[in-house]
Amino acid sequence: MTAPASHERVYRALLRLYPEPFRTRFGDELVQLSGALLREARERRGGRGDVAATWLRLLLDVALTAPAEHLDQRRVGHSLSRPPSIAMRLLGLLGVAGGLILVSAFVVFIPGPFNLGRLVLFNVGAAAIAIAVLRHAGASSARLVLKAAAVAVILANAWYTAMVVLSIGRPEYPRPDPEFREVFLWAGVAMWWADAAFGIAVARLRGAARWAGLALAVGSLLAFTGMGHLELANGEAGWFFGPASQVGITMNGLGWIVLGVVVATRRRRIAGSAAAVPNG
Amino acid sequence: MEAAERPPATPPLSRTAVHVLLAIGPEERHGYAITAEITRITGGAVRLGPGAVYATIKRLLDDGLIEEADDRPDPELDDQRRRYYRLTALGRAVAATEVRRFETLVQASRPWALEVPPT
Repeated sequence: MTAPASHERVYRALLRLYPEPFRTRFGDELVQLSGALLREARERRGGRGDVAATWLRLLLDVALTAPAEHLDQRRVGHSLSRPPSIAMRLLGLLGVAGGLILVSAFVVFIPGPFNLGRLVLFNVGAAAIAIAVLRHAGASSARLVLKAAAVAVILANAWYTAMVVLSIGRPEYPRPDPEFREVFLWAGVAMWWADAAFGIAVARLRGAARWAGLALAVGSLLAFTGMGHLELANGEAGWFFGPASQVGITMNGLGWIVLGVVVATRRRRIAGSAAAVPNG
Repeated sequence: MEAAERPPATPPLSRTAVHVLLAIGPEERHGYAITAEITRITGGAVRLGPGAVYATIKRLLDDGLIEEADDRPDPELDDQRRRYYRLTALGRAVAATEVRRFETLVQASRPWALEVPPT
């Protein structure tokens, strides 16, 4: 027995207030249930009064739950979620700090020795975000590309950090030592390309992470063109590659900052097949 | 199965989520049966609307606490469009955790709360 057409028409019109995915998934069941509740009201002794009260309840129900469902599309709205752990907050803050430190060079002058420290902190921040992503992905086999890119970021940034540390104390670092310079060059290439790959992988996620991933991907590739050894930024096309690489570094830094905020603030699902959190 | 033996240290569920979990219980129930059962087990104090019920069902499905049942109790008599839901192993474990929480709460407040006349 189906609900009267008039009821169904009115209620289906109300369902337009829900987000489309929710409507597609549960629309028919919502119509069925509302029809059953109205039928039940008609069969009770209260008659029209009961039906009117049921309609009122249905309207109130839609008014309260439809906006909540729209909000739910933009955040983690699971019945089981918990705030980020202290470790995730710390990793996220390291990412924010790393991004801020990278961008800070455009705002304040940082003398040589401190600049090396700045590079180390930036690399630590980037690696912290990659570690956070690996922790979040857990043992799940899903998102293999994202996990592979995160591992690449950790390795490349660790390599670059090691080169920065090893360059301390070398005169006019690293120019007088061609072999060291060569290795340093490849560490830089690895870092920017790993960051770009990670950005592309992150850009497949939803929300703010997507935009941060895009900024990271484009920014890293532009920043790569500014590497002195390539002689793009100081060559004939320097008018383009010079500013472009600076913009790239800024975008890279902003990408890490946003990802840091996402990692530090995002609530996590506790249950569910894809994102189950192991029992601590 | 491991999740059923060792339930996660979950924060308390929303009241509506607990109602839906307990209303489904060991059965397979569709939306209307869930709504009717909630009204019954709460003594008529809680009457959920369709939106509240299915918003909760959506979250419980997404969290793996309930799942859609493949078979229906009586296909001959039943509306084919109806979907039935049942608890997963994790859902049972979480429901048990919630009931234990209630038990603790009731035990702690019983000495004084039952002396107050009902309003």
